[in-house]
Amino acid sequence: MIELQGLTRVFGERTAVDNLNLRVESGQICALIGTSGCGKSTTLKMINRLIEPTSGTVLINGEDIRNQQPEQLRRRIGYAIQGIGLFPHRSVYDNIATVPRLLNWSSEQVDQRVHELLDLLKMDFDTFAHQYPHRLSGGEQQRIGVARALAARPELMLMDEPFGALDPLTRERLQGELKQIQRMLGITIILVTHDIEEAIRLADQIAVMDGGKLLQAASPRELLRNPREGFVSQLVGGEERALRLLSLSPIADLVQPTELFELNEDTPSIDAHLTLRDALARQLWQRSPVLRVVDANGATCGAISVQELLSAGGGN
Amino acid sequence: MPFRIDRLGLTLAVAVALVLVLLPLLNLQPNRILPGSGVPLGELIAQPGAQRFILLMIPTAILVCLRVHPALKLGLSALSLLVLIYALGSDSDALLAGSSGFARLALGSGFWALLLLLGLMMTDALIKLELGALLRLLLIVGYLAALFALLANGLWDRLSLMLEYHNQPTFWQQGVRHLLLALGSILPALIVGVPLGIRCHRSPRVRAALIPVLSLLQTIPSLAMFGLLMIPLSLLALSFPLLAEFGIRGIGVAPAVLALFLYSLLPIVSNTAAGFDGLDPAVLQAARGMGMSRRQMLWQIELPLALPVMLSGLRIVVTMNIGLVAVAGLIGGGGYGTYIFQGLGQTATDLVLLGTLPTILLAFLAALLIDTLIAMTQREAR
Repeated sequence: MIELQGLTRVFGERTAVDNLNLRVESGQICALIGTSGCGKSTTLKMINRLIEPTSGTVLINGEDIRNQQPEQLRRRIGYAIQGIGLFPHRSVYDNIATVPRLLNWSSEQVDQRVHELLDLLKMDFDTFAHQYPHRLSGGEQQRIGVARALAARPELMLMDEPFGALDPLTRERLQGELKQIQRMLGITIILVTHDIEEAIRLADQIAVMDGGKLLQAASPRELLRNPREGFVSQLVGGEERALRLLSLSPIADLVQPTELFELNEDTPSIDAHLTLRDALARQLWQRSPVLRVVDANGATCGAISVQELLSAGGGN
Repeated sequence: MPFRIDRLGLTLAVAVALVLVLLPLLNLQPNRILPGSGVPLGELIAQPGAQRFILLMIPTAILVCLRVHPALKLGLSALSLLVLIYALGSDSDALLAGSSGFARLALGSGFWALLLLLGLMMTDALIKLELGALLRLLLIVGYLAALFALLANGLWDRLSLMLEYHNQPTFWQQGVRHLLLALGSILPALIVGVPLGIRCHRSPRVRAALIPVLSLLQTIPSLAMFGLLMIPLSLLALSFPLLAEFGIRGIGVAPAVLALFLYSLLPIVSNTAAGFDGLDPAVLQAARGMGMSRRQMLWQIELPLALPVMLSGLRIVVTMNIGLVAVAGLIGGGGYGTYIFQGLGQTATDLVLLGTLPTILLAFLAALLIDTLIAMTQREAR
């Protein structure tokens, strides 16, 4: 569990972060979101002491981070940034091995860990381990950036707009992989972004910042249903809100028995693991008010109707 | 197959033809000092060596004009130069026959012009071949070794340049001394200059104060610099005779090394600062964020990544200093400059050449060596 208590940072005349209180539960993803200059990156950097707070404390599992040497602290915390910052003069292998070597792991341990991480990110060891970063695509580089951040098995990972420089397709794929890995490893992630879609897709908790202040911290669903007046409701979007809300729930939530509808061979079908937003889009596209819902094996497991979606989609 | 013309090659080939017709390859001098007269082409062409050279040069010149594979051009022009050098040596006995014992055969303006033109042909072909840096280095060093083997075999012993060489038993010691002077000033300049460059990178104030001073030092002509250093150094030696025992005097090695040290500082400091300035901020932030200490960042990240730019500063310094050491010969610093100034004093052109040629060759080889290093450090880190 990470707790930020009364965190404040003043640069000269300007207060970059103003009395910020936030609590992130272990094993969750928290997205810090806001426009550029809102203090979200400064907040992130105060957690691994790249910036020291003017006042306030950061507790990791109840322990004040100031009790540790900054370097020791940072080696325990994964760190991935927008520019990726892979070391251009070191191979993929050596990049990933950076923190384990700083921690004096034996070469067998390092070797085993690099294999594990490349496996985890679905990158072939023989193809990639001895490449140099400039030979990799942007998406591959960012994967290595994530692998490097995870190398020393941190319980907490900080990410500063990690997918900002990627094309939309690659970004979406990497977001999916990140969420999967995070669930698998059970680590805590605090992520800085300016992209509300990314925050909704990834986060368990979204903390909206503006002008150095925390405006609202809530689950994506809560944030979309009850945004505070002003900046927050602007950010979560007027008309788009309903669609974003639908995107948070799986189709399985609204499946009804097939007997309620008259399904025939021509009724379009949709996978049960997709979201309500996908279902609505399919209904619009196929001009069909009802869809057949199929499970992973392709067997029909129910139906979903546009009426149900309408009743689920609105605000209060 | 339509042949296409290579314009640079055509220009060089025409120049080779003009040089052969207009300029003498060799001069016949009545003695060591008096200028001689050129050996006419007609007389030279009667010799078997010169004939072989001309026979080889004709196809070389024609092929150089055409767009053929650069390896072919490189091989032919390199072979032509070897044959030319061989011919001048092997023909010298016959050309000297009938002259007095004091008479000498000296390399003429035609030879130097041909050396330049063939050198340009080889350089052009080497660039177009796009070899790896290490292979290129090996090729050039191998070729030079072959040339030296020819000379060491006594091929040119009847030519005046080699006669001067045999008159100078300390030739190789002077070479070692020349290199020691050049490198001996660079090592302290590196020890002082690299940390100063890093300071400049971190503090704009230090940079604003330091760089103008170093630039000003750079503008002082070398002779003036030696003169300026003579006064404080000789005062030092007078007041502390012990220092004089160690060679700290107004003339000799001390002012030479000190001047070269001062000249070396600017390129080293400014290139170190530029190398550090050019580092990717994301890389540094990532390194710090992962928990590297200042020292670990410096040695593992910053220095290796700034190295290519720092090495190009070193390249400037090494070539510059090898040239400047020659001037130090004037104040008794030793090195090949000694021959140059002795030769100037005696109006003995060949002695001047005996100082000049090895100086140029050393500078060329040093630059080549560092270029290879730069290419190797840059290969993976781009």
